[in-house]
Amino acid sequence: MKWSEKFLKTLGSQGLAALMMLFLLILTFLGTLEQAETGLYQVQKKYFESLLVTDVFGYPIYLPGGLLCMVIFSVNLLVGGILRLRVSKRNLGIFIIHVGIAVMMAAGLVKLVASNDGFLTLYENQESSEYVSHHQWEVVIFEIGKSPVFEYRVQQDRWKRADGDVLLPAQPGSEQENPMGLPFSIEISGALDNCRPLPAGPNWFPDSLKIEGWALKKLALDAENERNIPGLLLRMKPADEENHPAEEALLWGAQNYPWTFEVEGRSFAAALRKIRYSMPFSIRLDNFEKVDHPGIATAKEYRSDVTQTTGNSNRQIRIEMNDPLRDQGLILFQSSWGPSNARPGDTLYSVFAVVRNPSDHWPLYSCIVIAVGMAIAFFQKFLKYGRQQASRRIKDS
Amino acid sequence: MNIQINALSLFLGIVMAITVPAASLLGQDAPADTTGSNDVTVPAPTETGSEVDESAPPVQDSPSGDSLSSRAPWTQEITDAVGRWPLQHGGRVKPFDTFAGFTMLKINGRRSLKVDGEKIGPVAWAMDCMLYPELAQHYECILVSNAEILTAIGFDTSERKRSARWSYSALQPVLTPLFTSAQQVMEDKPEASDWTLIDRQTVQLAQNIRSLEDLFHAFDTARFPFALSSVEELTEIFGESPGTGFSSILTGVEALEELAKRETLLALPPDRQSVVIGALEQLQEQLFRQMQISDRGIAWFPPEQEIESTENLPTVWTTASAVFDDALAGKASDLRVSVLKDLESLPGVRDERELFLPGVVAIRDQLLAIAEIHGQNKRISMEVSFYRMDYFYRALICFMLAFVVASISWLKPDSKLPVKSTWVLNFFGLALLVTGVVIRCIIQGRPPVTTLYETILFITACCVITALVMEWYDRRQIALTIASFLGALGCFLSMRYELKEAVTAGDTMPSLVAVLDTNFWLSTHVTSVTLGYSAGLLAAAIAHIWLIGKLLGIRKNDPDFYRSITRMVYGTICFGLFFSIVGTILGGIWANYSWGRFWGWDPKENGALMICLAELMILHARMGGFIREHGLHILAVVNGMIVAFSWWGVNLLGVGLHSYGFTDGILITLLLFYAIEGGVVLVSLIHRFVNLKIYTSGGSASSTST
Repeated sequence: MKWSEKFLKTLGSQGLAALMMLFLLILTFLGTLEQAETGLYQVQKKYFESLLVTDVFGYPIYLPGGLLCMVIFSVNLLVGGILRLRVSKRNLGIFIIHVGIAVMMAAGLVKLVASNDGFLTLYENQESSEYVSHHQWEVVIFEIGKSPVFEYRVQQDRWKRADGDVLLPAQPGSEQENPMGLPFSIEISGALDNCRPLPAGPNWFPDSLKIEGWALKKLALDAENERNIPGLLLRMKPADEENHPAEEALLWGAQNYPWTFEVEGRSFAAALRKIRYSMPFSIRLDNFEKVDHPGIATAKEYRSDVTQTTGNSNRQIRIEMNDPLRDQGLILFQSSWGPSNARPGDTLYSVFAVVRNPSDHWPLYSCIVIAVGMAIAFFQKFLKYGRQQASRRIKDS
Repeated sequence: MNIQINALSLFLGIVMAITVPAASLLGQDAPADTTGSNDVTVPAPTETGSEVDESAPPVQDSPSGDSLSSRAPWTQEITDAVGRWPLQHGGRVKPFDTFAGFTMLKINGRRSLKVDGEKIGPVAWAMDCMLYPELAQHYECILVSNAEILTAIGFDTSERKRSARWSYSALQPVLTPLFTSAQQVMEDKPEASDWTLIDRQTVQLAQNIRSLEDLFHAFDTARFPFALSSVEELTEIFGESPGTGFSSILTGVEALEELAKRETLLALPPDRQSVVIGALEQLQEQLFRQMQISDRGIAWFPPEQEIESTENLPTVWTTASAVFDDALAGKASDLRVSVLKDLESLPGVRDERELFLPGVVAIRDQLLAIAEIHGQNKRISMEVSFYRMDYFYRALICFMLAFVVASISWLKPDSKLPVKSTWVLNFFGLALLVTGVVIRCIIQGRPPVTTLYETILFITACCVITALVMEWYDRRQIALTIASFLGALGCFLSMRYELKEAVTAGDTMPSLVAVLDTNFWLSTHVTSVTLGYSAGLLAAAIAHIWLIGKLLGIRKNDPDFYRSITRMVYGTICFGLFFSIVGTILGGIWANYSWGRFWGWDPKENGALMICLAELMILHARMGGFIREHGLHILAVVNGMIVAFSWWGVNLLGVGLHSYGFTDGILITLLLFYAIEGGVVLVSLIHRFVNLKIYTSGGSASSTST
């Protein structure tokens, strides 16, 4: 047997499938247990979206990461379960199951690559055409006093990938993104995932750079990722560096006001915030209703009546639990409401989860395919078992 | 609370409209307001456990002031009629029988109590609490499962066991420190997940005592004699003996309104004006207090008119105070006022059983008739008979008997009678179990599984059915014995867990949170996943027979016996895999359609995924020839442990969206299960390798069953 054939055989083998399932099983188990300690977001990154796991509960134990296992598993499925499987009447069901699982893995891949999600919070009569990412941050720069506002954005994964100091070209975007051009470039460094700005003083000598006596103090990551507030050092370098020295500022995710600076007589603002995505329409909350079960504080249902405005056309829609709004590739779900400590009669706000996912319905298709395949495969086995047992009983008697 | 404000503003409207101007017209200072509206003490809310008030009024003695030492037993007719009174509690309409049953279970730890040699059930107990509070406060019905709660607040419990039942009167000296302590826990640790066991038990005990106090005070207003004959002007309206309760005021409410008018008061002789105003204010004060007390009472009263709404709003039942409020406001309330009168007459005839019975029957009929307007009367009788039939206890008996008989059949393999009897008993047990589950579905209008408690019933039924189907094909009594064993175990566990749900939710048919309020997904995703659990557990149970049989060398010369077990285990895993995979993906689809994410790595989702992965791994490893019989059975047992982790274990982690069950005390049971199963796996592994060594050294590896 040629080495390539051997390789293919191993790649598509049931042994490799079982091994990958075993690893995924272990990773899922560990990831579930560790959630209670380090929180879902961190666990997801560490176990399920990684190539390699290097510690388990702080012990140096090495395991293949979830992403790596899923890639190998998918290749194994394609090679052994679909391409190299000789389809016959006997294994038709198995083949269909494998196709269904492949569809599901593809849905996951598309979601990973092409989707984003966030939330939109509205009080009654408020309107918005943007939603905010749950976890991802961005640095945004815009010129003050210009209308319409054009925002220049650098998203978290760009400064994360560079891992440290990085010089970012200030004008790489399309004309539409940055029509007026920026007379400076920026440099982002010293980014921290969770920090607090504190004045450097007699009790704290920060390693990181101080700006006007302040520095960012690194904090341990919180299990609730919403409580992790990042910070970074932003260095603005004017194009005309000879006449205008570079300026620096600390940006922190929870600061109330952006950093403002002037270059060539124009005023700019820079801020660190959660990524905002724009929608091709705007949503106005007309009415939010929360209905409790009688006599107890458990919500029976909650729903939002909204007006969706696309261009010049309006339409009234109700979004409620298990009944989202789907339009132009976006899905708006009734997610929650707040404030959670509201008393009866207080004004409530409605929270929508907003998702852009091209593979939205694929899991349903895969579920149907898998169910059909399993029904065929196991029904065949069951019939065979029944026949075997019947003939055994006849033989016994 | 809104209701109360409406009523009060209405009545205050009557009284204040007259008192203030009249007083000023008379050139006098208006009498000091003694209502003390903010100081009125009412029992604290206990429904959500969010508040524990220290200032509940003391339990009232009998209206006549006599101190009773006993009462005549309640007749069956009376408890039957009262048991069918409908009421709204915990977000749904239920019979009094259910309400009393779960309240008693929560406070007393079981549904019966022995008092002076008489064994009383929940309805009789609740009636005693409501109508004979001076007796019931001496009933030892408060289960304190851990004496430390009491010793921590300085109470001497040395004469009692660690877990003992106490009477309300015995605990009275420590009630204030107990409530303070519970309040402190809730203030210091707003997140219940931070509570220690003793914190939890302290808060639970305080809430249980509040529930008991709510019962003690349920008829306070009915017993309360309003000052309706304090002045002759009022006596003219209400007579010399106006009776008690709100209904006593309602008999003359129009005349009272007339009397309270400014002109009427001004027309009175000057010396009478201040006297009458004083009497009206006293009445107002009493009314204020009684309405607050009644506001916390039982919601007996459905709305009288059909609610027409396109918004699917829930029908809200109210307490006596709202009926009084509506009657004052002139809203349609004739039907409810009639029930209110009958209800308020009960304390007066509590010792006259021949008068009491027609009273409670009339109340039942009237309440059911009003409930019928909203179609909420239909399942009351069904629910009462459901709890009276005690299906799951009876099923437990059948399965236990079946197991005993099945064991006999193993000892006497040639006799057919034990086998037939096992079949019959299993069928009876299964029929009772399924009937119980179906009735629960009908009562709730829901698919069979909505709570952790219901998963036990459903999984048990599925295990038994699957095992019986296998037995039908296999006929070796293996699956038959397993069916009876799992049936008995499941019914037993369900009864144990019912207590837990009673403590937390006060019902095993609680109202569902908004996202679960969809019968489609409950009937597809939840039932599929639980069917998957059933199959995984069943496969593990059958695998035990193979492993233990091999270990002990039973039927050494009967390879067919073992092959048959292997086929069953393999088949059950396939069956389970089907439902686990479909159920898990359906769960993802539900999450995707509800929240916009297919997979969120939530512990319960992970648990389901682990079952799928484990079962897929078993099948692939088996097909690839990496494991044989021994390996299959060991992995089937490991898979059973994974199912237990997914079913119960993840709820103990206290994180995620699916942690819906109350899991105190479950940990020990689960750890015990893991210890036993871990032992089985370990011993089987050792046995397998020892065997392998023997065979390998003996050169006959081909004959091993590994």
